[in-house]
Amino acid sequence: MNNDDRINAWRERRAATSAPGAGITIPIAEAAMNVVGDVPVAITFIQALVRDALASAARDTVAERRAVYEQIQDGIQQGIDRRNPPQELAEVYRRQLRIVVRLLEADIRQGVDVLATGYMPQTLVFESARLLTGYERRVAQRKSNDARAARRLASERDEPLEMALSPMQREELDAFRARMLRLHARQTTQGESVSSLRLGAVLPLLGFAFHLIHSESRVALLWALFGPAVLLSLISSMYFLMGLHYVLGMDVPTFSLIGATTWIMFRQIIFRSSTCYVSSRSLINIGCVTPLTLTLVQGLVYLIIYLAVYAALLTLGYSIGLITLPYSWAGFALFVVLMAVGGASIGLIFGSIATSWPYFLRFAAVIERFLEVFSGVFFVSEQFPVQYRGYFLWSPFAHGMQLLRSSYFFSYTSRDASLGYFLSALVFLFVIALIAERSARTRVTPM
Amino acid sequence: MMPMIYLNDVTDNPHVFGERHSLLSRVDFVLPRGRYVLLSQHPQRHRSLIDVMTGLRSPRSGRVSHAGQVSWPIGRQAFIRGKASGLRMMKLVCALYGIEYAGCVEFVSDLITSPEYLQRPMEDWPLPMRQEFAFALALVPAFDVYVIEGVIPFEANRFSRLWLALFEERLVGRTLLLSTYRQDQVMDYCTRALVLEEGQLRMENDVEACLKQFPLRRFRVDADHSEEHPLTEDISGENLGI
Repeated sequence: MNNDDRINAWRERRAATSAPGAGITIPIAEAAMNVVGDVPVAITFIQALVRDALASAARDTVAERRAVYEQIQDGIQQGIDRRNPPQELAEVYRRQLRIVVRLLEADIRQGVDVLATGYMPQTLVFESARLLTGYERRVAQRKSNDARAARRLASERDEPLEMALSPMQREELDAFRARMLRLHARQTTQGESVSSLRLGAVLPLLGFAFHLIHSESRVALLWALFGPAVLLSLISSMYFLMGLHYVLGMDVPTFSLIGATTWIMFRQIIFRSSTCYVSSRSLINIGCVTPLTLTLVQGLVYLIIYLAVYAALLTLGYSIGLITLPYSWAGFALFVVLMAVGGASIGLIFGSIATSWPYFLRFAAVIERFLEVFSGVFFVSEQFPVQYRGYFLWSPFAHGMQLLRSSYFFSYTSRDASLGYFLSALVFLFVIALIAERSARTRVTPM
Repeated sequence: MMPMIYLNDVTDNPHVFGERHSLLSRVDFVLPRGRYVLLSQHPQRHRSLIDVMTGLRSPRSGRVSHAGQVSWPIGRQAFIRGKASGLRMMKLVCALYGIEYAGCVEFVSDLITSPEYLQRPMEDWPLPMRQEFAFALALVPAFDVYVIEGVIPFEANRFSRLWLALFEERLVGRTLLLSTYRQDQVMDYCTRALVLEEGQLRMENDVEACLKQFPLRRFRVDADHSEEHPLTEDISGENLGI
């Protein structure tokens, strides 16, 4: 029954009771009791109820009118008791009566004929609207509280809460649930330890790093060719200007290419891995990715890039007759990789230092330039008088570069370079790097 | 209850906002399975504690170990940034956790509101897209411990409803560690408090009492909810008597 039906029913009952000879009168309280329903009634209906009650009863004194109002109030309360509406709806019925009584009583006391046809208190509609707005808020709040209570109960019982979803969303949820379960069922790393996940992280991170380089710039990889080509030209020019075309049996362009490309790879690995250790901290939010893994992956990325650069320059140089090919491909590749390991170790040490002293990375370039002079990039130690060779051979990378050239050129075998010294130095560097990384790890905060 | 996170003689004193603080001091602690809110008098240190507890950062000394897989801190911007596309990031996560990539793409793109962004670099995404992606992706691996740092989705929209429904089911029988400033979410999801006080960790069963002792940062929506609307006060109590 909606409000209109209720009003019509009331009017019919009123017409029947007031008709001559009807002989039946509905008590005021009973009429008020019937007002209570499942939704708020229009306040004009309450007003009509009160006016009719006043019209049919003695109303000259305040006490008489109070008696009428109390009958209506009792009737509404009986209706509330009988139908047991929600708390906030019961409050609305009581409040509507309160508003009507207050406004009518004020007008009566000012001498207004409240029973006249078309009478309507001035603020009745406004106050009613305000009341209904409050009611709607209250209903929403109750629903929210109920939902919250259900939510908390579900948490306490460790049960999933049944969410209020539309039929379409419920269908979607079923589909998503099935997909999620399928993904989890096929997950191959469930139950694996973090350490095994960390070992398996290298290859995915490698692919990701290449994707990032590609995303940063489409010419980034081409640019990697440019650096070695410039340094190669510089070193070659130096020798050509001195009228030399061979250095201890090694042709100058190939000699320069080996020195330039290997060293640029070495320095790139140092710079990139040290910077990566300090600043690439977003990915370490994933539990199986550590700063150490990222640094080593960065070294691996630049090793692969410069192996590709080697391949391109050797192919190009050989095709135009400028460059000779390696005497021992395996030896050449091995020493390039070992130089990369040295670069990664130094990068890790630099990165570890930079976690507590970020300005240190500014010195990295200076240290690298210093090492470049003493690491056989531009010349080999056999080119110097014996008494000066010691000034260069302290550097393990000078040994590495000379061993690299020895394996590349059939006509050159380094007499000064020591494989034992080079490998020992690499192991020592790597151990120092791991110790430095371990002490710095507490300072590398995920971003 | 099954223990999930072990801290064995852990000491840590990280830099937080430029100052060194004693976060943990020789802590031996076992976190059993359950739903916890992280509370302390210094909410700004929660991030550092989460880093240590989830194994993202090594403590100065001691050892942290886990039983089961721990999620990344969900809600943190973390790796949802940079030039990589969403698809590429999903590929990485799938490769790291051994998950089927095609299924993951299908799941995430159907769940989020604007899947067209997935092909673009994440740095170009609007903030709601990043948040949706972060939460959707967190459902893809089968974690045993879910760590949420920030706000659980609560907006009345399709994504939040579906995500919450899935998360509800996922959370059953697993562990939740929540660090948030939303008191309503703490009361809704957490049954116990993990209290950090004076370099030590302890568990408390009475979350409400703990919240009084360690209040969360007051959030505007919480403030609005906690105050009754004047109209609703009007229609209650003695005001209605005639």
